[in-house]
Amino acid sequence: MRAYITRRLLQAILVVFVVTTIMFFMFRIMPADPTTMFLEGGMTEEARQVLLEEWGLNGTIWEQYVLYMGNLLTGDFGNSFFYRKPAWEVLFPFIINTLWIAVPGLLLGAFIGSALGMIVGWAPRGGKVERSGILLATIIRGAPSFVVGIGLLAVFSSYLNWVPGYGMGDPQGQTGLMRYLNWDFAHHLILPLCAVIIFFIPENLLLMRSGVVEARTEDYIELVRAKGVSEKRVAWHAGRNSMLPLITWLFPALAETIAGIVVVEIVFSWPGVGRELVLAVVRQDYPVAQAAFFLLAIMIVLANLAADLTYSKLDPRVAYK
Amino acid sequence: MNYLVKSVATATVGAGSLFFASAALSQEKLGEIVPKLSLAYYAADMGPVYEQSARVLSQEWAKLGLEFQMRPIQFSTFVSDIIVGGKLEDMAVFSVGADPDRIDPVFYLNNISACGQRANGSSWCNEEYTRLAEKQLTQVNSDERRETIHQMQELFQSQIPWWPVTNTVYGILYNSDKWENVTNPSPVAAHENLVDPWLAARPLTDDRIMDWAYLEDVSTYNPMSEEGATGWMRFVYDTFAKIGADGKSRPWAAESWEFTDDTTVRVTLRDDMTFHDGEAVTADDAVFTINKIVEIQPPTMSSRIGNIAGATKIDDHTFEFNLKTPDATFETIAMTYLFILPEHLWADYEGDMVNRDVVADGVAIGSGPFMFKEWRVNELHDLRTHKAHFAAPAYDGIRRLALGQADAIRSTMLDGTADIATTVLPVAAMSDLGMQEDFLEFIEIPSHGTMMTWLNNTKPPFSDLEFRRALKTATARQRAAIEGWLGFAVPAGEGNVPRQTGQWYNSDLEPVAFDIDAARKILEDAGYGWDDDGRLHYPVK
Repeated sequence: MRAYITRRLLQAILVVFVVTTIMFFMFRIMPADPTTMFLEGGMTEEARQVLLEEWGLNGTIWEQYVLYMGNLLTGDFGNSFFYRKPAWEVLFPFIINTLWIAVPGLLLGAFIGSALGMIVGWAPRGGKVERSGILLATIIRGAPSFVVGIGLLAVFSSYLNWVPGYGMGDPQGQTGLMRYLNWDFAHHLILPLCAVIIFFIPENLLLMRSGVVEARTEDYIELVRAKGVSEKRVAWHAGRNSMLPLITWLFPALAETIAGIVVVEIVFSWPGVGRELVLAVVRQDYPVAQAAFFLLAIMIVLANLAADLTYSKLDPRVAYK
Repeated sequence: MNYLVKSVATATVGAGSLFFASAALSQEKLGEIVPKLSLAYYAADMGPVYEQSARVLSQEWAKLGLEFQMRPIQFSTFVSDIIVGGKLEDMAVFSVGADPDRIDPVFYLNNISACGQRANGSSWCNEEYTRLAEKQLTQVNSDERRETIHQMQELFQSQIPWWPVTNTVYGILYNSDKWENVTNPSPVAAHENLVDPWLAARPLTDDRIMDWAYLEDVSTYNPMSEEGATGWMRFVYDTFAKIGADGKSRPWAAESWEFTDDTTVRVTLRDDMTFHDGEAVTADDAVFTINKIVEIQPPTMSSRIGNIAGATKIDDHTFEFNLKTPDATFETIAMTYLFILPEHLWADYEGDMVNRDVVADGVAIGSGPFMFKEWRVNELHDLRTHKAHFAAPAYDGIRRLALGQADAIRSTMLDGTADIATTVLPVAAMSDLGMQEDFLEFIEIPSHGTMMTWLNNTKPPFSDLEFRRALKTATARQRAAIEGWLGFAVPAGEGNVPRQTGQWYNSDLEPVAFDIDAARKILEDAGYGWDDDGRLHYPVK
């Protein structure tokens, strides 16, 4: 097991190294550099050179790469070109904001999706419930998250005017920690949270359904039924034993949520890391964009590792060598 | 019968031979075909108006026998490659905004038209024109300068290296149930560096904070490093002058100023100004700020401070700017941009002033009409009115909501969260909302912002004056304004200076009317011809 973990960690380092390298070169092969917009405003060439030097963009691309990787090893992501402060300081508050919709969204999506999956999986094969459940999951899964988001905005914010459709709170709302602990924040949270929940329902629904469909023909289900317990209780046994893939899926899903939540944050003007990542790319704020991608790569790699290790704990039949 | 068949066959062959011989003869009179031309324009990331305008214009130009390769280009790539990169392949259609300092025509006259300028993307170089361009920069007497500028436009119009197509109409949408006296800043877009409408507006309800629905965030409150949101910075930090609705500089923190000689500007500051911490604003603060800026040369300020040698204190409220060379644009471009920092908060700072985090250090303090209160990154900026300011608005503060996208701005205007929106919504959308909702009022802002056609003057066919003349004659400015901009633009004037700059525009220039037949005649007279497919050919060499 120890050898397996060591091997996986080495693989993880390699993956992060490759992703970081690709990101580094991807930004630098773009035709315009971050000083371009200043040039349109009349910045002199001397001033441009000063900025390029300050931002570590004046050497050859290999020199820049070596400098960047060296700084990265010491935990220095560089200073944001836009905010003029360390990239990590820029990103940290946004990560907190993103977690407010990512974690509850993922957990509620998993709960609702798996509950629906159990109902659909236990329903008679080929019946209305199964067909409707699969159709629902397919439609939601096929719809891009921005379509779901815009649909929610159109109905619940613009038409019914039940909930606000933008931002994280009223402009006149409270500040500091208290801004998160009041009705105004919860009110603003509803729509983006629903969009994330809906985004996660189909995957959970289909995973759970497959597990239940498989489990319902197992001998132990017959044994449970032979004990004379209610049909709901039998279904619960099938569902509980089908949760293994779901639990292990949750780890990478959390990382994917952070990555995939970009669209939800843009649609609902939510000041999270996803929206900042898009802005950083548009502004050509390399340090912030690279730090965000680096963070995502780390999260996804570690989540996958955690999922594998958890799997072996939950199912003793699985052994890693 | 055989005779008849033979006669018909002979006649047919003869006529055919004659036809092909004539055709061959006429083809011989044609030079090489004018190749398909590349037409670059801002891609959809800048909205649909450029795609639509480029299509409308190219449809009319195609009637001259031209074919086009349409090339939408993402904004920053367009700027780096075409506007400042010198990589214009054939033609480009794009626009420049109605920035306040472009009310001075130096951007149009020098930056994009004179020899050796980085933003001269059409690569036209006329020595006589460039000599005049340099001369007008030093003419601090506005009558003399105007004469030179008019002369330059005549020369430009005779050569037509590029031409303006439309002038942009911007808009303001505001909640008229809550606000009044929202004044029109025309001919400049609603930039925060102006009095109109920001400082003129008056509240009608108890909600005395103006909420401005906007797309983007501000990057810093340090005026030495902010580049994009310079106007918002000027709410906090006073400038020496402001541009008024008439497009002229008017006194602001500077009560008055005069050129004592060609390179010295004596400035008298108002004596009733205080910083937000209560300290009086004096000439010491102004001189400290100017000399510090000259010493450290903040890169983002380079386009406006390059000609300043320093500043000298005369008395508590008087000082002098020392310029390196005479500068006719100083009043409009530098005095409306330069700010005053409180010396008592900056003099002892030993770090990198340009990158100082003024919010973290608690020194986001200027003397402007608004005081910094709060910044929630990517959410909002909250400024409160500096009541002691000589031009304090009649309300208690202003908030800039960084909403990120147009739908959210529309929603905030409709649900009453936001009070005012400016150019961040399509102007047509603002106009529609103003008509649909009783509580929303729309103001049209005709501006000097210009959509123009650039040509690569270094290569044929654009190096031929007659070709350029024909192309301009076939430029459908009215169609571009109506179909490209949905009516929120007006056909541009002649020359290279926008009509909206007032005195600087030479209204004596001969108008070039849109006329396809006249354009074809110009080409024909210049020796161009058309083949049977209608494609344009160069004159025979």
